[in-house]
Amino acid sequence: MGRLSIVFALGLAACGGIEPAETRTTVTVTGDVDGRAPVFSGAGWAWERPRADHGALGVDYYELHLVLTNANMDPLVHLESLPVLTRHDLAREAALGDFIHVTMIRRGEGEEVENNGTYPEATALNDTAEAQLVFGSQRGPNEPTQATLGQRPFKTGQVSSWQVMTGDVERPSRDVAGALDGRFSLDLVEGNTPLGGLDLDVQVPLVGEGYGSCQLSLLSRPEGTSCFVATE
Amino acid sequence: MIRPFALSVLALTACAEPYVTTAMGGDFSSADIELNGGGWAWWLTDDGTDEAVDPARLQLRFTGATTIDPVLDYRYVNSAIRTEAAADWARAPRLTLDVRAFLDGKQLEANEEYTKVHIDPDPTLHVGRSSGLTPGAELPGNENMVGSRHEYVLQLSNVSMEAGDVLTGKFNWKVQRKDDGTDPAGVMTGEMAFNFSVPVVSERVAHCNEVTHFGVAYDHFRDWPCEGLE
Repeated sequence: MGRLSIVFALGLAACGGIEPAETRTTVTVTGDVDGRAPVFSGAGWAWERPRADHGALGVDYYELHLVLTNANMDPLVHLESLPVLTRHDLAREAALGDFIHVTMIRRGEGEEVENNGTYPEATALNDTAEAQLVFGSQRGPNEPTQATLGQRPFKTGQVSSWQVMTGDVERPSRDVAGALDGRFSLDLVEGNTPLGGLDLDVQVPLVGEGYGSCQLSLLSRPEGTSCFVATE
Repeated sequence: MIRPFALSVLALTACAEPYVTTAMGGDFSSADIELNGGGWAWWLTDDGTDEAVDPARLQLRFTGATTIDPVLDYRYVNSAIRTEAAADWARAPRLTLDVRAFLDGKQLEANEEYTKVHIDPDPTLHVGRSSGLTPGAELPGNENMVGSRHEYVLQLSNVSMEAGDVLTGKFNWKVQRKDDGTDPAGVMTGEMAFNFSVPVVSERVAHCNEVTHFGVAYDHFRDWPCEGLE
């Protein structure tokens, strides 16, 4: 019995199996889009982009970003701290799975979200939301070599109506992540065709803007990227 | 007596290993253009526009890379193999052909000799870096490193569009310098001759591997042609 366990453990190590990571993410998805319910079993995180006053150049917007993936990773471990091959493994997991990036934009007088808030607020006519939802691969690793081309896969960024309800919002400090608890409700369309709606009940780490956006870019460019490019 | 011989020939054909043999002349006999590492073929029927590509365009790939298995969907391979294949493809020399046929809408046929009257193979040659760059290396120039007077001959022993089949044939490419002053001095000239028997790869797998750079360009993983309902 002991020998069997050792052999099994060695086998796992030799195959380079990735151990489950603490994703610090809880997601419940209700609803479907185009007849499919996305699955987000990996890491998720959120960040805020503060509203900034650019003086004569004007005032820009506050944004709240939410990313949900199937990457088996701890979102609070910076990807650049991992070996590059591990980053490639995580990038593949994320790229083969369902993925969503929701951005809530508060224009005008909109400020950062608060505990137990509901957005858009009744007086905020210019608040908007965008969503990039991509369904992952429908193919298995034993894809037949004769596989033929299919129709273009589904992908959308069009949101017809939306609501964000926050629970507890704990903002990050310089060294410690915060947390976001909330519900993101989205109705999606393609052109004028309704595709369905999703309610995403999430509990995710709330991280700084630089960290959150850098993690996202490293998931698609795991060999490295300059994460802190000045915005226009 | 005849039947067993015929059977053994059939078995040989079915089990024959793919091969690419080359005869390189002139400037193409350099070690940086060793293109016999591997080869494969696929047929482009959909170029991403609304109109079907008809007749399908034969795609031929010859590379010095030796680690690439063209029938794999590299998105599903572990990262060590993907990154090595991507690096091998990038640094090895390669010749890609995108063969447009001008045959009144008809497809290429076996045992016909096609020249530039019948086809435009649109060759793209990438010179490898097998010798490495020296610290003082200068830019080699622009993309037009080969002469612009071309002669082609393509002859296929069989024409199959089925993934898993083998495509066998010959391709000759003669490159000369144009005398009208359009070619700068020092452009490469010479002749390449390929004898090949290469696997026909499914369009989806082959095209997907190219747009994902053998599984490391993750932004394209969920896109057509990699994905899409059949």
